Amino acid sequence: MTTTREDGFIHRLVERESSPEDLRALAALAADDDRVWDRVSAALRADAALERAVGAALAPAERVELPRPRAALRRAWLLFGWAAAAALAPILLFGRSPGERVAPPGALAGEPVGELTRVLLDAKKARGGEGLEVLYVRRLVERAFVLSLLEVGLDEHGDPAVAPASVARFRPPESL
Amino acid sequence: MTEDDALVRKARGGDRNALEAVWRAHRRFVAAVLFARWPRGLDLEDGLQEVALALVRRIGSLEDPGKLRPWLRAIAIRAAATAGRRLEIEVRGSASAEVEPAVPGDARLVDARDEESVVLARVRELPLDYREPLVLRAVHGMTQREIASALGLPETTVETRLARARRMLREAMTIRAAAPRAQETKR
Repeated sequence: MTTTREDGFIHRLVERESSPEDLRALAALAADDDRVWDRVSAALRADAALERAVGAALAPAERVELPRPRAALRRAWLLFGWAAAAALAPILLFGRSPGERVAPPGALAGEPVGELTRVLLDAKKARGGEGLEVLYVRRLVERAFVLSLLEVGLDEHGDPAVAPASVARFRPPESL
Repeated sequence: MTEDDALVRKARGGDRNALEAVWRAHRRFVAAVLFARWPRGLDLEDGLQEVALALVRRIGSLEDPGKLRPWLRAIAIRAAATAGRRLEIEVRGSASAEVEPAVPGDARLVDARDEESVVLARVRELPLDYREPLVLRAVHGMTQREIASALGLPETTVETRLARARRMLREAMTIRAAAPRAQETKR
């Protein structure tokens, strides 16, 4: 498609950039073809309709705000709350198999495989005066079959963000 | 360095408020780029959210703050292409099923109550090279120079495309008066 002189004149008229020479030239064209003014009118009307229509179509853009990484994290924690409770980095989250239930805190979630050395958090004399009261983390090793492996890390802003974890990074002890 | 560039630099450095300001200043532009390509029947907001997420995650990789709009446009184009592939919808040149096909002619402009939906349908029928600058021009505040910068084109090319796009749109919006009269005669 070629651009005619008339196209250029009408375009600049719609853009409100017409020079006096443009208007004189357009009037000269109209002197030979009386439908020129119809086309000018149609172009102005189409442009006004377009501006209204695009304005309405793009209005939803004003409602879309930037996602907050913390919101995404909260969703993940709700979904995988039992795993997130162990808030020691790195945290691994599992995409569970269909039908798999969420285990309550303290309960076994997979097949028990072994137990790692307990981690002592606190120790003090027992109230009765005999022995010690200890607070410790018991680290059970379980095996489960999951759909995916996710890791909570930090994004470029230092905010927590959930991302797929590389399976190749993990090499379990041969004893397991 | 422009005020916009300074804001982008701050956002790139991790300033969340600056990042939000950048998004608010450019989300309408992103919406226009998406709109020019977005498959019919899909929610435009989904595309906007995808681009917003990419902005949060990848602003650090933007090397030249002055190239923010072309960078956002590239992300929006990818998002639209992915959405199109996902739904196996032909985006380019897809005809409207809801609006009567246009007949080129000069006599009568469509005088419909839903003129806005008609004009949008006709815009979607334009070739992408013409559709995109026309939609961007219709977005309040975008000049021909800004469009040229965002599309990576000379300003004269944008001017020519806009002039042709306006002609195509005008012709598409016009229905030959003879067509309805001919239908009435047949009855």
